Amino acid sequence: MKEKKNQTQTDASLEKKDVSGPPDLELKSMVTTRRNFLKATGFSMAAFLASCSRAPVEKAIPFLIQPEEVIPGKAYWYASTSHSCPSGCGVLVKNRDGRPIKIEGNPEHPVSQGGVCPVCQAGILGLYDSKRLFHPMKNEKKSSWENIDNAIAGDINKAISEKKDIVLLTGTITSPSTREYIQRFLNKYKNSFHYEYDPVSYSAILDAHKINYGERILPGYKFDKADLIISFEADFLGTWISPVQFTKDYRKNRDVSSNSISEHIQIESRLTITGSKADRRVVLDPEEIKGLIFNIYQALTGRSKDHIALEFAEKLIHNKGKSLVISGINDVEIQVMINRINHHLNNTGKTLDLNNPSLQFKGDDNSIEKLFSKLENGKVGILMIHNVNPVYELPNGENFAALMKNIDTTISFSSIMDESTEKCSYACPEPHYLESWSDDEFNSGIISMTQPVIKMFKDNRSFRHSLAVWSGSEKSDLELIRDYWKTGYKIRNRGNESFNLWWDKLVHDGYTILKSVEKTHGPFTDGKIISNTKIPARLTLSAYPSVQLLDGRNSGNPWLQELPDPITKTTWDNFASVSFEKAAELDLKNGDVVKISSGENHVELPVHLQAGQHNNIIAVALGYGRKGTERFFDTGPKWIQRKQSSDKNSYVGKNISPFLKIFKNTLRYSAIPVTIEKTGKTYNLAYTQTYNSLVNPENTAPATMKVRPFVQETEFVEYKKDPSSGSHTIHKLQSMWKEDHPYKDHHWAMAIDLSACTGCSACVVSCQVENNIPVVGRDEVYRRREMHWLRIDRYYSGESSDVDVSFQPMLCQHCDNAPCEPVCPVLATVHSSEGLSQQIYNRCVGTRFCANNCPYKVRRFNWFEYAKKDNLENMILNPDVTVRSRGVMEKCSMCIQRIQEVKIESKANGVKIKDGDIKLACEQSCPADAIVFGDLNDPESRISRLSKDPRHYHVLEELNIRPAIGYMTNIRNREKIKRKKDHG
Amino acid sequence: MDKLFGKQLKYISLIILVLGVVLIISNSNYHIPSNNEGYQPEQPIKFSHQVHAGELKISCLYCHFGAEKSRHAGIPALSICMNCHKFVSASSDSLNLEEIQAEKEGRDIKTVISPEIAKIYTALGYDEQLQPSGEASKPVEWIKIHNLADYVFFSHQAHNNAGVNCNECHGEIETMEQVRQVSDLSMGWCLDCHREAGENFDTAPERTKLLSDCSTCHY
Amino acid sequence: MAENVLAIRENLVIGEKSLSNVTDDVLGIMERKPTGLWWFGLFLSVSALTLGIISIVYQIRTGIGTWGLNKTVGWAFDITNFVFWVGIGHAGTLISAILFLFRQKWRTSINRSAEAMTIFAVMCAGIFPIIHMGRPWLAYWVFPYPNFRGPLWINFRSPLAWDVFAIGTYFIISAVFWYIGMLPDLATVRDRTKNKIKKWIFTILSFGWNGSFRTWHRYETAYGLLAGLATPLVVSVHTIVSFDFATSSIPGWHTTTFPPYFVAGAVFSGFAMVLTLMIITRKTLRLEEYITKKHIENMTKVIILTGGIVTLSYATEFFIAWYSGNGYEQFVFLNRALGPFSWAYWIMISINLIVPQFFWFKKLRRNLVLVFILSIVINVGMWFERFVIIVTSLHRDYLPSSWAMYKPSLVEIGTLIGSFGLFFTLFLLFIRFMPIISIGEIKSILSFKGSYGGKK
Repeated sequence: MKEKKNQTQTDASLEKKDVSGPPDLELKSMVTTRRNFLKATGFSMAAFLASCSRAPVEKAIPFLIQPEEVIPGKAYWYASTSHSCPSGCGVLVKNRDGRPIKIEGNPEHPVSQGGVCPVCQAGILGLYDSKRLFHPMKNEKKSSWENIDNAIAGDINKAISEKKDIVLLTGTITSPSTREYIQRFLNKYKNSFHYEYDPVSYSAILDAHKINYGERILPGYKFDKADLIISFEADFLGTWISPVQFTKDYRKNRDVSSNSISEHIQIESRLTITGSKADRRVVLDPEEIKGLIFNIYQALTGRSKDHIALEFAEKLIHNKGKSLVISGINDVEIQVMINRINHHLNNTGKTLDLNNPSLQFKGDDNSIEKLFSKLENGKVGILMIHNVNPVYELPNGENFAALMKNIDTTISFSSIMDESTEKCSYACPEPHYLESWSDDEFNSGIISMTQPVIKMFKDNRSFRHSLAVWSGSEKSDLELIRDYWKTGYKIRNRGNESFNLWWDKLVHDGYTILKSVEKTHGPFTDGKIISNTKIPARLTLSAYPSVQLLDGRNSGNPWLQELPDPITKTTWDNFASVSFEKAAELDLKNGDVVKISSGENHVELPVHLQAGQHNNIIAVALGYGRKGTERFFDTGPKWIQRKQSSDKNSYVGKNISPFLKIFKNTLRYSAIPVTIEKTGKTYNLAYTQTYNSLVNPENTAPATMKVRPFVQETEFVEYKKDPSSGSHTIHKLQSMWKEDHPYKDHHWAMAIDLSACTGCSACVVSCQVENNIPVVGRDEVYRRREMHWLRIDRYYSGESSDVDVSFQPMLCQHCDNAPCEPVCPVLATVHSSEGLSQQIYNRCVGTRFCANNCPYKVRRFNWFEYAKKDNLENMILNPDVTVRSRGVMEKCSMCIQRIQEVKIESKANGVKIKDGDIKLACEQSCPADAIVFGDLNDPESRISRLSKDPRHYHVLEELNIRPAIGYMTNIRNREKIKRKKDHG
Repeated sequence: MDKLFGKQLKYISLIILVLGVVLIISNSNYHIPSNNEGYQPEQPIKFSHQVHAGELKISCLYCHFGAEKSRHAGIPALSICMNCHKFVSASSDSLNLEEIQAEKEGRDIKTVISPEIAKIYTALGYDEQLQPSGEASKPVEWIKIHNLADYVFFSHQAHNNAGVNCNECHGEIETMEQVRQVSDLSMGWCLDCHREAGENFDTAPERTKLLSDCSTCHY
Repeated sequence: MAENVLAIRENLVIGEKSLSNVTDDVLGIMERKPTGLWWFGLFLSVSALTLGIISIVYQIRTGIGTWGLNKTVGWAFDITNFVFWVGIGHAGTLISAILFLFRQKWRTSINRSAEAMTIFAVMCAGIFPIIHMGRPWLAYWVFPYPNFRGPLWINFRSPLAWDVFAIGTYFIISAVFWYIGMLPDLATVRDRTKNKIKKWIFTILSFGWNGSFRTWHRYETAYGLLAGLATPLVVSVHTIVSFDFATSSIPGWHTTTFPPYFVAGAVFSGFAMVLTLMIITRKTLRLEEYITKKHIENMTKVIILTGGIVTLSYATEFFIAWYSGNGYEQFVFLNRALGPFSWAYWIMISINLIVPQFFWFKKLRRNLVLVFILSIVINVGMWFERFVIIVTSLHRDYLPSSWAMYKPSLVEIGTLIGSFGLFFTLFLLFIRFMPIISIGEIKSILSFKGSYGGKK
């Protein structure tokens, strides 16, 4: 098979000419870079005299052939689709001088609707990961595609001749063309099988729909159409199926200016960000939840006496056809009950759509059993693993590895060396999605396009292309996709324009809507009777995907490892979170190491005391302790008292998936009985927030101020009566001094809606990508020196289990009478004529008085030289933002580079800046549209309207420092409950 | 008497010494470290702005088109040089000389390629007949002359569209055989314009006088 | 200017010293070989100094991160040491300038070594504003020098800029005042010494002092003028140092009582350090007759006064917090007394409140061992006072989400020990190579009973 050049003529024109050349060109390390030269001259005044010589010579190297659309210094955008997580949001990728530096949601894309989650924001760093596999490997030795293809062809023939099976083990295949080529591969080789499973499995929902509707369907949930949402253990704003799309839809029906908003009831065992936004939150352990669902169904059909169930049933009947009941527990019986409830309330078709369902997760858990039985009887000749890591993810991962030994050919397509690839004889690494072609249908009818925005770094090849080559085709990846769609588009396309025109429009827009091709589902049948067996309360483990690492596929990403968990505020490690009562009972404190065991599985994890968690469960995050995180053992600066993130070749966190179990042919993540015992050792978790409430500590609470008035909360009913309810501002501040900031031209300001913010931290990572914020490592975070310019403060109020949570994104407030400005001795921070507090990095000498004087403590200091020396990873740096050196203060600059860019552009075109032209990195990425930035001098701007809204208030208004960041009162849809430690 | 003379001698020698030092410093090209005024390095190709911009009056934006749309004015790619030099392979007088020579020797005219223009062809990997000669093409590594510190954000687009003429900062480029940095590009020098920008920049829409915010150039 | 002896008042110099006795006693120290104790003291302080230098160089090479600071507590040991050392300096200026203007005769035997202590303390203090900067190689930007950047001056509204001028003036004036005061004695050393090099050095140092009437007359006027100039410094320098905190908006710092509170605290810890040094030097250099118990007693009386002012300030802070009804202020002081750093607060309160009360009793004032121990304890208390003000107000201020704890790092402790090392090294060298008591002034207060001979 002649190895074809990866890209055909059609995309030659799109050939991205790399100004900076292939990444393995080591940037010539100048003998004296100008920065060191100037630092040296600054240091020794003697050099002042001896410096008649010039600064070192710098070269300007232009293109050879000037590509059409590339102007050095000007960003250009490509539409693509993110593959960092299985939800598949449509994104726009910003390219600067040949390399992608920022991902933003594609506003028109129906899934992302402009927002993206933190995992997708950080996904771009995966492209510049020097630990990626760039070449095909045979027994861990680099080789070329030619030898690999010949060898595998030989193995396939051998397997056929020995009547051995060929097994394809993949995650959910969302690309129609890949599904087609898998089908062709299966048809070509009779004894080949394709098993799909998902590390975070939703197969119970699919199996339940098979029982109730005859088809394995994952319904498309429409949260914007639901006036009542009852969610059982489904974190749909954080990690469940497609959080960004659900957050966008959920917000549409919670606009407090309309006369009614949706009511959201969350019944869960551990505190999730969805639970913290719920209007009513009931804490039950997974078995009790199953009982409650059963009772609600009984209550709906008038046969139950449980008062909570009756209350919920009455609410549901009241919202017939406008309510949505969902559950995140991977138990077929529960899902069947949920289907029955939704059918009974005839929600199906209105708030959950079976005709164009979601295709994001089609994994089938009992295919795992089939796979193991096939492996055990030793008939498998070839095993191919794509997009999953069975050795790490499956409960019986160890014996899967053992079984892999007696398969002669094992091929892994993973792009990083993970547990499964390590044991494979061949590695055919896939490229990063930003350097590859792909067509995906995450939701039926919506085709999302992925196009390469940069030339493939080295020698990767996509799974589809490899499969096609092994089934005899000689086409390139792009041709394969185009061939599929040349026929596919006619069947599903309503219009009749030419293929090329349709194709170019698809590539340009990034998505297109086509007729859904899903088979119509059968009528509803009740399915078999389910008994409600009572199980005595016992201590159980529940493993959950965390907001930042999901199932662990991105655990090699330092930004996600350092992203503080929205609820626990921990970074870099997973832990066993235990409720306060259970901890008191077992006499555990934060940081004690406990040994959790179930059967012969043991794991040692530090304890984290968690409010709002049920006493009978221990929650542990999935996705930790994965191969590829041993590179972080020495992240962070080196100095004598430094403790390494983890010892030499151990991983960050511990893997909890051995504890999972397959029960009634679905993968169970919760209700796993475990025992827990103290080990006496301690392990300090790296928290970014250690005090979690606005109530002063008992012994030092002054009489006049029990609770600090920074978060204003009220109920929707109260808000409707009096729009400024819940506000603390007693009187308008008069100032003795005249206004010393005239703001003739612009007056930039921001408003953050606390009702909208779900705490998902997409803004934190988006800000980190945009502004070159360094990763500091576990030890520095533990010493409270993390560098994020934007942190989300999470405050609890109320008793330990029945707890209210409020998120407050806290960033530089750009105050008019800024306390940080008069105290800087060298004028490194001054107020701009447009309302921004400027931080001038090159002028700062680092006395840190400004940080001490800031009441919000939002200034960050470069304690060490945090900038990394890895040339490939430094390609992600945004050229418009200075990379700060050691000893320099930094803070949120209100994305001044974006403001300046739009100002220069509008001045060049002679147009005025309209509201919404400037979108800050955090504002753009927020899935809940909680952040609004604009010009107060422009009366029609959203920010002017919001600042006049009675809900609008400032934190620490009474200090008369006049912050430019306003917050909107958090409004919950429930009756007014007087709580003992209320901070309303 | 000699005592008096001794004291006077001391004072006189002191004054001479001070004067000497001042004279030496003032006219030697002594500058503080970050000031590159008068920097005129040897470029890989002896490109003459005097010929292109002065005599042929090619507009600055033809080659440095970045100045209109981006912060970098940019140095033209060789493909832009080839727009003309695909046909012009030597200066006109050396062509006339060849014509006379060819006539004298009675042979037809050889294609004359001036050594500097030949550098473009070799850089692009072409041979004499402008066909790909098989060797790898290698971009020309020009020496950067006007070089601001990393922490300064200077946008040609902003200045170009505000009606600032190129030679206000780059001096009489069209008269230079070899480009030389005319102004010291120091912060004080920039602020001279930025502070009173409002008064005499008529083409700038809205206001321009408040350009002395630090974040105009530092972020 | 003989002075008739009153029975009721003790003589300031006991033992019927004659003029030549005074010169022999004071300059004899310089001519004798240094004792083993001196070498041991020097060894200790130089090793502490090298530890300090290593810590500082390591910190400047690696980054401020080698200290235990974080984003909430931006200052701790660095500014505590700075305020502590500047505070100690103030007693020297008070003794030599203010007591001179008040014609307090008892100051004559201790004023030069106190003034030397001021200079060494300010030198120790001067290190910290430079090494606490993130980029110390650009520390010269804090001075308003003309430049090519437009010109870009400094921020004259910043207390740190005022610090630069205040500490700079303070160092220059106390150095000049100390040096001018020493001129007659340097000349005496020049005339007495046989050793060639020493004579050459002291000839240069004594500025051609010839002891004529005209020189003495100019010396007296200069000394009086400088004393007048140095007097406001005692108050102004520590007021500006207290402005580093008073002009901020952090509860616990932002109080108007800070200037007098800090000045009183400075004199309080300054006199304690003078006592510590004087009790040791009078014993080892056999100067008991010049630095008598009367001097020690007078100094302890000043400590009672300033200790009282400092305690009053603590009480005022609590009262104002309660009286203002401002929740944040009240919380800061409750947190100081009962919060995580309450151990440091109670050390501070118990020392600064209780120790001065010992000195109400004459017997205790005269018990030198007790006074020596208490003087060291006072300085420990005063160091903790600055530590408590800085760290407890920072670590829990407005937003509870940024509350954080602070733990010093080894490098910080090394720097603190280093600053003490520098101070004692300089003081030991001063004792060895300079006349530590101003002979001229002592001679002016000698009491004579008719005979000029005195003991041989």
